[in-house]
Amino acid sequence: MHRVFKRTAAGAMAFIGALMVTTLLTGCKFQPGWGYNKGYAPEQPIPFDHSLHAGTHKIQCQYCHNQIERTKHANIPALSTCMNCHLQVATDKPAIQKLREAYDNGDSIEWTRVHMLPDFVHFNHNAHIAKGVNCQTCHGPIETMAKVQQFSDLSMGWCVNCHRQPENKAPLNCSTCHY
Amino acid sequence: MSEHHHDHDHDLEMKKALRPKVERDTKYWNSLEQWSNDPEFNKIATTEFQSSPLREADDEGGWARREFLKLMGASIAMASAGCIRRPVQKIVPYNKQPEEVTLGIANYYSSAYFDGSDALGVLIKTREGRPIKIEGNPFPQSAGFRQFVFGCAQKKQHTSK
Repeated sequence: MHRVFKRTAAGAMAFIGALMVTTLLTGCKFQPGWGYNKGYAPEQPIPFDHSLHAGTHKIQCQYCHNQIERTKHANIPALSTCMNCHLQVATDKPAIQKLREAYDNGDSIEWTRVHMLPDFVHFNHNAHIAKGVNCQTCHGPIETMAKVQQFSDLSMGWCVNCHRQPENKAPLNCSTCHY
Repeated sequence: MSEHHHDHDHDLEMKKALRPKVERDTKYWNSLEQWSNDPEFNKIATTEFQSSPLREADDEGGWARREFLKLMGASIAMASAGCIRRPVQKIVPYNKQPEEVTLGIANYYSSAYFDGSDALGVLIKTREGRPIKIEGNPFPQSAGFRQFVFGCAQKKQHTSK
């Protein structure tokens, strides 16, 4: 296996390689919020449409994510919450039938997590709700999203930016979040 | 492929012709082969201290190693450039959420531990229905707190025997 590629082939490969690197850099690295999974919109097992439920039907966020005012987690609703309506509503749709099947069998739905913070930081939802922070401030216009995507980059700088504003009166202590 | 090799050999011949002629010193020699100007020995000696690219025809393995390393390095770089996203995590909610369960907030249940003679009050800390900690119930009437610790110590003593 002496010189594997001839000169022209090697030149072409180098050019294509440079093109790939440039594309990668401009498309990913130099984008704001790179590495923070901003814009991450994974496929969910059931195509739950927030724009239909929260947008068209104007169901309150806290109807489903009901424990958000008591605890630091924003809970994904149990299947029983869905069935509050969907025992009667739209029972002919295949997605609803899949949901009903899981509910009847005692199974649950494995949703793919969209917003994730690393383990060394703790985010407290109820503290923010108590302060009157809107869901849309951090999660963006969820009521227009057919598929949930991560609207903000959730970086520390982004969090601290809001905490820093004097009118918010938010703590700036390290151990507020890192404990 | 054959044209590739022919091109390569032609280059090699030119390179060999351009190599400096080394004069052998016949006064001092290290081995009989050197003294007798053995052609085998001469062939080895001319390329002994050359780097592997110059030794192309003589040592195929050296060149192959370089190419291999280049390919490996390039493929690793490209593979790691693709691993940007963190792994997928799932959230699995309840089917029917029990009323007393609040995610992230622990529920404490009081129970009793019977050690053969006494019932000692214990407090069980549970998260989402899963008990994670058992401690003596500090409520005075239950007589659980210190007794529970004492009872565990006794039990440990018995089992160590």
